[in-house]
Amino acid sequence: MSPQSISLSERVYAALLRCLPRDFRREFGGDMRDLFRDHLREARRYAGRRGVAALWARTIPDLLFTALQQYEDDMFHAMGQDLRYALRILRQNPLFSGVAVLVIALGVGAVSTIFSVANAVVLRPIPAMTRPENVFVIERTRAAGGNSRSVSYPYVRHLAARAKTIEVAAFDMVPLSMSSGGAGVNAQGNLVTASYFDVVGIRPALGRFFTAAEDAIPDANPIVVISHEFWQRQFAGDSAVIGRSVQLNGRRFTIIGVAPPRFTGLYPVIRIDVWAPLTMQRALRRGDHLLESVESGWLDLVGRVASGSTPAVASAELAALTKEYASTAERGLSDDFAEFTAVRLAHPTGFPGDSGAPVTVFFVALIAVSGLVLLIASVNVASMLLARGVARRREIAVRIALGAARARLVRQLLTESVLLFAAGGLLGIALSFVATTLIGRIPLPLDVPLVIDPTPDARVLIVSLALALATGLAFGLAPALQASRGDLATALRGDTAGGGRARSRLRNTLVVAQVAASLILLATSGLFVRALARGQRVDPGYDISHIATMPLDVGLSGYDSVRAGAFHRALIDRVRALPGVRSVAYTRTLPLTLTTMGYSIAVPGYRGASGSGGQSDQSSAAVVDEGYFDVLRLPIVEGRAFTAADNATAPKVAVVSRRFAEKYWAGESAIGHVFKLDSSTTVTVVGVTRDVKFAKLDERPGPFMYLPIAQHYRADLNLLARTDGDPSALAPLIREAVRALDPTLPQPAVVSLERATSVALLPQRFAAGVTASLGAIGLVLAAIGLYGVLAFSIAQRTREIGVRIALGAVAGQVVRMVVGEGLRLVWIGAAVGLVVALIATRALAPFLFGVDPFDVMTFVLALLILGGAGMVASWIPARRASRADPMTALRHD
Amino acid sequence: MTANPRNYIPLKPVEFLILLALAEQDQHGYGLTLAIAERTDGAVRLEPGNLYKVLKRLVTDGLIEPAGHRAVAELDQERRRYYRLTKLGGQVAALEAERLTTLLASSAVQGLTRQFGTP
Repeated sequence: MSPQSISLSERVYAALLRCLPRDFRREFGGDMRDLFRDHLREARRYAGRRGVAALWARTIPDLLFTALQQYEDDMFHAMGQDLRYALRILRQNPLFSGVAVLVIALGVGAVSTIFSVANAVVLRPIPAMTRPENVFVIERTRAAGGNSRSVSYPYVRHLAARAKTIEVAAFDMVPLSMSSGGAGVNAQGNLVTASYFDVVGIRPALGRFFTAAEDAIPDANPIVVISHEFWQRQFAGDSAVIGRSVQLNGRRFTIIGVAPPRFTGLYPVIRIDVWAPLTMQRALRRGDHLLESVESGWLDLVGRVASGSTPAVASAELAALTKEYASTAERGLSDDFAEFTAVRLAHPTGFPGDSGAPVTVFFVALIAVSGLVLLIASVNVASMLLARGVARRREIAVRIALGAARARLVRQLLTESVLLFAAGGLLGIALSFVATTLIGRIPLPLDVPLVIDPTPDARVLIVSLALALATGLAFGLAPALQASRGDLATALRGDTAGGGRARSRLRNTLVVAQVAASLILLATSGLFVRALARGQRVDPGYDISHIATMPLDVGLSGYDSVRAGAFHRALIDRVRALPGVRSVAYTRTLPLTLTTMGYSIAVPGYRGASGSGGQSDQSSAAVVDEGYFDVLRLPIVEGRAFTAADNATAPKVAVVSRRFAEKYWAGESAIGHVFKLDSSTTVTVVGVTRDVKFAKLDERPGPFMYLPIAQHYRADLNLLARTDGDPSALAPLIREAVRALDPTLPQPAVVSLERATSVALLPQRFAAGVTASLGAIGLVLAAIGLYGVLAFSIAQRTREIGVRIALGAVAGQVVRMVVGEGLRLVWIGAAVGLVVALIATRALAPFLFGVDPFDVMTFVLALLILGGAGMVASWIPARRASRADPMTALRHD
Repeated sequence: MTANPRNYIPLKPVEFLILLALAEQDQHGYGLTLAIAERTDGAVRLEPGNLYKVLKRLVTDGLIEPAGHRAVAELDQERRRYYRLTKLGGQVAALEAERLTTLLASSAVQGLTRQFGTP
């Protein structure tokens, strides 16, 4: 019971009190120590050392709980205080706050809009699937790189019957025409194996899906499942639809089930309305021996990894089965089984084939561009905050003088900027709702029903708001630190001249950053606009203006080739007779719609460039009729075009492009030479045409051949009609001609060929539109920001300028000096931006139609625009300053 | 602006005990812990952090107020800060007492005591 041990406990307690918040400690620390001493005394008196131990056992948790609770209270209290104060300050400066919120809203809105579209196209998961993480697209790869996704039905059956670690399904897209009496409607269909629904993991909303037995025998089970949306649209959600029979492509099918709501197939951007058993292929899709053919790759393969297995195990098993299949399969197995031996499982991208990766790159680029707008907006607001920090120096100095801690001040100022950015973020999200609605209304020139719903979802909202708050913190921090760095004496004197070196350095950095970001933005949008312009000017080698076009597949309505041929001849005669029509033709594929047909050919005497390719070679082709060259004004440079005499029974002929002729018969005339088509048909060259870009505007013309429709007949054709006037004026007349021949055919869509081919420019059009809008917003923001910062820094120097003028400087000199300083910042920013832009725009090269990413024109123009904006932005405030009366200026504080 | 005592009802037991102790006489911290321990048969023992946390809240709410430092005879004339009840605090405590009285007089409480209480 020595006094020393008492004081030891007390000393420890006093030390522990330091864990309490400072305010609480100041107020109650002494009292608590006293009370502890009282308790200590009491404990010693009644229970000795054990009493002291028991007291400590109660004291430690008591201190901990108190400390925690007080900190929590303080924090909420301070946060509430900060928020209330920030709101008051922001309300007191409605102009400042309004402009800042608007600027941020533009920036966040830009990102949010682009992200919404990207989200809708690339990121949004396929709806209604269970455990989608187990579902994979199966593709075969080869050692040399690249992959192959289209497979034959025998291969699918080989895998499906043997694979144990993964359940395999296959599907194919088929265009459908459905009718239940009266005019038909067009629909998009999928031929699927019965396992498809299990692999995808969906349950029917109504009725049932196919059984394995119903998918076993070809042509035996005319049954279909329809999408929930199709059910609502075509059958008004009538539950009696199960068991109803409908005509699909001329054949009677029974509806047995309805898919769950929102499920529209594995490529959500392409809406599927109807699913039919794969074994019903012959009824719905051309190709008499597709189901047996080991050569034709026409199916997409997907799989669900079995529970307890992994993708690695499953792909190893599939690779082994593929090897086994390649070694046992009968004759005629295509070469690619020798090459593509490995199997890779990829997560479904929502896009067919390999289009996923470029689309993703495309959107990443656009999101980055929109990020630049946000960067410019944020820099704007940061410099506004910085300027206001100077204006508020007196207030801040007073608060420091009254004992406010710097950390607390910074927190207060940060709360203000985060609040501004949160408000701007919310407004920006509202803007993006408007913008995406507008984007959603843009009609797409595509014949597949694309379903893209760009309305922002929860993911977009969260990302946008988080982005706004993060930028608020990031761009509020520097101004807040700067503002709270108080030089009390000068600030309290009310001397606002100058602003300290650190402050002006930060301000200059902001200007430079802004100019740099603007330059990148302007350069990007300039490049896309140039690419679009170039794309529109590109000469494909023929004339697509003044042509009306109409896709028509009477095969879908049950026509056999004899009836279809008669129908096509009757229709072309009717259309030719229409007023204003100059010439008419049929073609199987429209030019400039990203599609070509490929044929394997063998040219006698040709051994390939490297000699390794053997005699077989690949050539792109178009199947056209005798009027095609005339309608498209595609000149025959040698020989003749097709004639009506080149019919199914006549000797097989072809017209080839100049490059085709040069490749195989260099130095001599191609006319009269023969080659083998698909290793069976012998074809004689009768004509040579000019080289063309057939599928895409940015393709390099390669060897190309034309085959006559009459010798390669199919019922799905496109009608082309050249007219003197507006091709769309022909639409009702052509439709009427179709109706007159067969009123039960679906209403065909007649559009101008220019519109039909605008899909070739779709990415550029979209990118040019988006980046040009973003570029305009960014430029305006940057100009305003530049003006604001320069005007402010010049206003700060009013007294200095007054002194100069009082000492005899001429107004012109002053203006030159000030403008010069402003422009210096612009040039530094431009230089930084130029370097970054030159590196970054390289990624855009695939979308630029050969416009050089370092396109000098674009960059010079961007520099000129920025320089001009900088000039104006610094000249206006400079002139105002130079006109100031020196006496007023000198009194200016 | 006079605060309505009803806005503070119900009190937490510790708060009520402190107000009750201060209703008898002004107290310092140690005095309060003793008085409360005595009144609750030692069931409620207030440690310094807990006590001053509650005192801070009661002061903020205006139910009690500091009454300066005085020398305390029992503590070898050491000086301690005293607290006293405010008028509002008195009203609130009285109101809380009424509430508890009504509660304890209810048939439910009596039934409870009959059934489970110690004889």
